[in-house]
Amino acid sequence: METLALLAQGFAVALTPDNLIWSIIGVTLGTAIGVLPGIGPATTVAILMPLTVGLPPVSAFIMFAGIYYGAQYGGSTTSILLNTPGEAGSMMTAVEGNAMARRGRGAQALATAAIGSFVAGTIGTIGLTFAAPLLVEIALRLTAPDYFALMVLSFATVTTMLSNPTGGGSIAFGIASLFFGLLLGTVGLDPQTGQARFAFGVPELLDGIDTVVVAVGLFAIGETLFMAATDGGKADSLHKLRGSLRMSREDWSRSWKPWLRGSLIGFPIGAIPAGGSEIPTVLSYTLEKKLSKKPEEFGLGAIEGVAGPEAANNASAAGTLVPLLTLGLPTSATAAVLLAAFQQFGLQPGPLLFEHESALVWGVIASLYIGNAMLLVLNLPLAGVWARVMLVPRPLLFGGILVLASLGTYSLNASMLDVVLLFATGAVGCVMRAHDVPLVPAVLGLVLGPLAELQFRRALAISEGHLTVFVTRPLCAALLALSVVVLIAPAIFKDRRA
Amino acid sequence: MSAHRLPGTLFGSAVVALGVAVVVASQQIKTGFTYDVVGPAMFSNLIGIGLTLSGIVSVISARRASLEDLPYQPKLNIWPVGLISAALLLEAALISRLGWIPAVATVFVAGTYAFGDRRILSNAVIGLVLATVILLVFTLGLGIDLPLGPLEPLFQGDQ
Repeated sequence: METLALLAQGFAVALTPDNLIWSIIGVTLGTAIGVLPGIGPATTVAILMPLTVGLPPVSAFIMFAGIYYGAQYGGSTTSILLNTPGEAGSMMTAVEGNAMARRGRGAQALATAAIGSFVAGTIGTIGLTFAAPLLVEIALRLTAPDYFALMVLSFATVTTMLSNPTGGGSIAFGIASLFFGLLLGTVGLDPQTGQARFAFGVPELLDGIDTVVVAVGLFAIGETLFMAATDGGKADSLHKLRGSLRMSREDWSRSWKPWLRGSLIGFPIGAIPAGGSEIPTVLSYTLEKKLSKKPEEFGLGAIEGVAGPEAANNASAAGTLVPLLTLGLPTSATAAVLLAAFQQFGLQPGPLLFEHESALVWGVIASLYIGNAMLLVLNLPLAGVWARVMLVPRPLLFGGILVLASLGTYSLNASMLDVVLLFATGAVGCVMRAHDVPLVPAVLGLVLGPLAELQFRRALAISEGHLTVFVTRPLCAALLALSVVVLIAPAIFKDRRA
Repeated sequence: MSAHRLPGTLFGSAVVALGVAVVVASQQIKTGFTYDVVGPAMFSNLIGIGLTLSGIVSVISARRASLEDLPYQPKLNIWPVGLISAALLLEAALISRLGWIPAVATVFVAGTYAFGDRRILSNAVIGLVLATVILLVFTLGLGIDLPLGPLEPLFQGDQ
């Protein structure tokens, strides 16, 4: 019951007229940028981060919650109408939703996605509300070696999950991407000894490299350069929205169970520090196909195939906030960017944040409920507008992305070096994209690397330099062993199959 | 070596080179602080070693790869990439001197041109309007200052 009291307190903080307006602005902008093809939720959040800098933390995070949900929803709109999934979690939505759009049922696909997102987001946030305090209890008992092992596990799963298993040497590619991110994370003054690392005498580099710059560079600029190099502006075919978003009685009766099942699959998988959004969406799709009375419709536009995965995607997005808020552990690109947002305000998510900044944390959680509701209210009537945003010709679209990326970068510190870094990471991102190297491990390495190093060095300080500290503690040893299994297993399975 | 193995081999070799460079550069980091058992160089050394190893594995698997294993590789056009890159670097060099509006409008025009839109003049107008709107929203609405360049005196009177 204490949780409910804290949540009520959170609503009291979040439900002021000012904050509601920030929430509306966040949802609107998040959707507007999120529907742009080629811009996924992580990039959207990164580009829009500077907008929140002038605000008090609670208002900023309320706007963020709006941006986060808006970006998610914008991404599914693009997947359905354009068949260009911005991230792994929308892949199934793109398959089935686009099939619906091809048959002239794009409006219903958008509706079931929007309502399903709302249902799943709400269930996921309820899950977060009650799971977070429990996990905080556990987190308070973890020691430095455990934290380090948890982070290693998170690195291992994200790297393995995102590496394309068919490409040559893909896990090695994923690991290279991770270490590249870790390397970027070490640039600047070592927080523990004040020694400069890899700054090469450039004073601006002593503060380290901003996560936002790298995320926007790798994702937005990398994508723009890659697109410029490959097809130079060949337009995708957009499916026009016909009729109203009204779902028929049959649509409702075929949607509500997939929404609930998708939420139940998505949330727990998102919440474990190894989840991601790809597995739950694929699981939900497979399950719905198996349970459906009309499995032959799957692939041709079955509404269950949109309702379930879309719910799973949103519930897992809410789930990733559990390890993010309670352990400070991001497990997706978007969560990594959100962690950077917390750091921007001088806050470090983790069990201590719940103790010291209880009003803020519960305000953020309350704002997730609000942002989610706001999204439904705004997006159902505005779907036609968002569909038109996608009609922007490609040259103007990518020109606009370059402008937004410059804005996101330059407004951070007004530093010209950041613009150079934006270009440099963009070039690296383009090369990685061309070689099918996953980008997310690099962002995760950058954000989490310094924290992992801190816990690593703390652990060795406790053990007076003995590496055995990582194997003598059962939890830590188990987590590290699990990480090794996660990394090695795909290679073994691949060899067996071959 | 067959041509299809070249990109992967080059990429892996670049990763190895970066890893070796990191290990070499790590030797410059001062260590030996009594209160810090591990020191600031250990992690960067580990990163260098990790990069080197993952690069070596990438090279090996690239050389083993057969044609079917590889993702479809479209033909790459270099000039649009060069144009956008040049525009971004120009922006970095000029943004604080010329101000947000012209620097960003230039990037916008370069971007549209690289994607095949040849209407430079009308795109310049769109870029200028877009940059101006963003500047006004950020400076007046959010209190975040973007560089004004030569327009600076226009706004100073109000303060």
